[in-house]
Amino acid sequence: MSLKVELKPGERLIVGDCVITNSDQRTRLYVDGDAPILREKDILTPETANSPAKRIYLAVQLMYLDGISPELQDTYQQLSSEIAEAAPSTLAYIDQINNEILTGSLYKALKRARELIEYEGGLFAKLQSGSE
Amino acid sequence: MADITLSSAVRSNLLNLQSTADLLGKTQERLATGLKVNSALDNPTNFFTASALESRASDLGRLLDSISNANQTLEAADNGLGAITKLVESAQATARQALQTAATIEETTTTVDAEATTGTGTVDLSNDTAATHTGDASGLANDTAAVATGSAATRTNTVDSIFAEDATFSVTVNGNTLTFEIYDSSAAGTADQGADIALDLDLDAADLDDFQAAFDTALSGATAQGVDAAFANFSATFNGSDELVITTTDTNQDFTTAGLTGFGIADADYEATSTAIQALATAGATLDITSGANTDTLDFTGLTSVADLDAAVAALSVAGLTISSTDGDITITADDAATSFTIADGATTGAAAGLGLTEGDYDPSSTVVGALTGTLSITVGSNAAFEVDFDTAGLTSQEDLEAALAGLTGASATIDGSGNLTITADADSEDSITIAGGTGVGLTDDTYDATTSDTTADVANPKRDEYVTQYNDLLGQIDALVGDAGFNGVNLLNGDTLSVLFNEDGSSKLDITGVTFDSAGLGLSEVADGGFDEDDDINTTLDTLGDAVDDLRAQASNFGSNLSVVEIRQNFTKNMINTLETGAGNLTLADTNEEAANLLALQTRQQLSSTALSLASQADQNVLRLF
Repeated sequence: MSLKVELKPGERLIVGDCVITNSDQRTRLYVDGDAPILREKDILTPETANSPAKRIYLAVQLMYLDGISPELQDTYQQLSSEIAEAAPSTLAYIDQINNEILTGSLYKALKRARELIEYEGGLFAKLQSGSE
Repeated sequence: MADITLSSAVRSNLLNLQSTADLLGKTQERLATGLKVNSALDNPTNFFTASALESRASDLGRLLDSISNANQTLEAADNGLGAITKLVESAQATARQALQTAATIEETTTTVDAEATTGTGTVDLSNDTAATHTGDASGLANDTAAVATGSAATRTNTVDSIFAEDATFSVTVNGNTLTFEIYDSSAAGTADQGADIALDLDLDAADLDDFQAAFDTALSGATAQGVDAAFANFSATFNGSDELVITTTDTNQDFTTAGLTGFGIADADYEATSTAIQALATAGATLDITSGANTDTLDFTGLTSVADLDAAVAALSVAGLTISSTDGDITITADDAATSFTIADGATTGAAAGLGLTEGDYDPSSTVVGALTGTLSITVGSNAAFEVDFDTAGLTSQEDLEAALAGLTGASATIDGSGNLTITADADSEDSITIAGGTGVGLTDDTYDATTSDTTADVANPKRDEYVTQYNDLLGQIDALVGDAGFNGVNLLNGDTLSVLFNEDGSSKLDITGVTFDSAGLGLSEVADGGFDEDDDINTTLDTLGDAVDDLRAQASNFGSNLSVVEIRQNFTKNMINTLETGAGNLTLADTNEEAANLLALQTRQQLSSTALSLASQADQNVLRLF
């Protein structure tokens, strides 16, 4: 069954090793195959990944797009142990991400990473409200 | 205490005090253990999360063990593949070496055109004396005198009651007949012509006693002895039963009477008899005389005397033999120098012994062989000399000589129809024959050589078979190696399958299907001797080896990628356990404000850290660079 993707005008999409940029009208695409697919709104870059949780997301995203390399794995481990040390309550999320990675479901791992970003956002919000 | 009443303010203070004491106790406990959360009551969420994470860490730890086993199994298989590849490459090298070795070499074959031979001897060694054997039957000699006994007579009767005048009667011994004639002394007349002895009696006055006296006197008298000296031993008497008895003291003397029927003495031959012969006759003894397929049997049944025996022998007939006897002494002689015969008792024994014959085989003999002296020495090739010492061998016939020479090895001795000896080396033998002491058998003392010729031909190079052996050894080593390539009971090179679980519930796993890579599994088979003789055959083997190497490399890459997957998982799981364990311990820090502050600090720290840089550079090599 094909995956249905709707693109807004000018929206970009990664399919495998390619970046697909939509023209100035809405487009509907059907994609078949095993290549990783990411919408623009789900994509973080080194520039936009500016918090510990977002960096974890970026690392998982790279695994999703490129496969798990030992180097990438090291980076991911480093990032996840750092965040677990700083904020142990994130461990439940990290554990879920780990589990998805282990079972090879990298797209699901990405979703869990997104949840971690939200949780991190919650903590930061508390800090701001706490400091007021 | 019933008389103490507390006001509400005091009660409130007391409660605060109790709560403070409670908190103080908790704080002291936390200080002692170093943990903010110590029990489910402190912070239920954090406590249970921490316990769950800790138990997950230990689950993963168990998983890690199995992944680690799988890793080692793969490594063992990978190492095995490497070693097998080397062996197959060695086999390739061996086959190539065989290919570079000349397929054929020149070989010189020596053909024996004529074996060594002494040539035909000059002395006739054939049998020249017919087989013969003579018995000594003295044990069967007649021992009972011949007796002629009449019937009872009335001795007072006158002579004319029996005889008329001029009546004649006779007694014969050894073919000499003594004739008596009755002459009546009371009447005129003369004895008839031809009668040897006239018995002068008054026929009607003289009685039978008178006749007996006159007969007895005349029978052994001078006249009778003139006819045959044997009559000296004869007598004619009446016995106690008034029967006329004519007999002799010679126990080996037969006689014949005629004309004495008036006394009841039949005209017949009266024979001396042998007790020993009669005993053999009673026993039913027989003697078989055999020559080749011809045989005859001397049967003692009915024989009583030596004369009977001689007659029975005379009746024997065996083709090729002459059988005769004199007074029971049997002589058997072959008619020619080629005939053998056998003497043997029949079912009832005793005949041969009685006849003085020796049971056994009697063969013709050679006077030349019997006269051989000295030692004949025959040396064949490098064998020890074969010697026949004629002085002690006791050879008498051609057959004896042939038997004596039968022990010769490496050569054979034959005696031809003319009796001449030839010694010839075995067929295709290059051995020489040296004869010493051969004059007696007609051979010239000399060394006789075989005639040989050499031919050169191309034959398969035996070196190639050495490579075949090496090649087969390598295959054996491959099989042995495959057997050793397992770990923990799982051998991926011997058809086993390995399942690696990556998470606790087994939903993520890697199944690695093993291969059978022994020599047969690789399509390699042992090469038979001579299997490398043809270049084409070697090339076929090389092709097979090439295929095998390809298979091995493909499988090595397959195992290699499996190994790297397993290694990544192993590493990941290991790190995950670390994170879980540290994190669970640190859940005591579950103060959201503190955590948020920590995160903020981390965020700042990370911006400059090598981790973030590495992340950025990895993203740069990715499709993300296009963003």
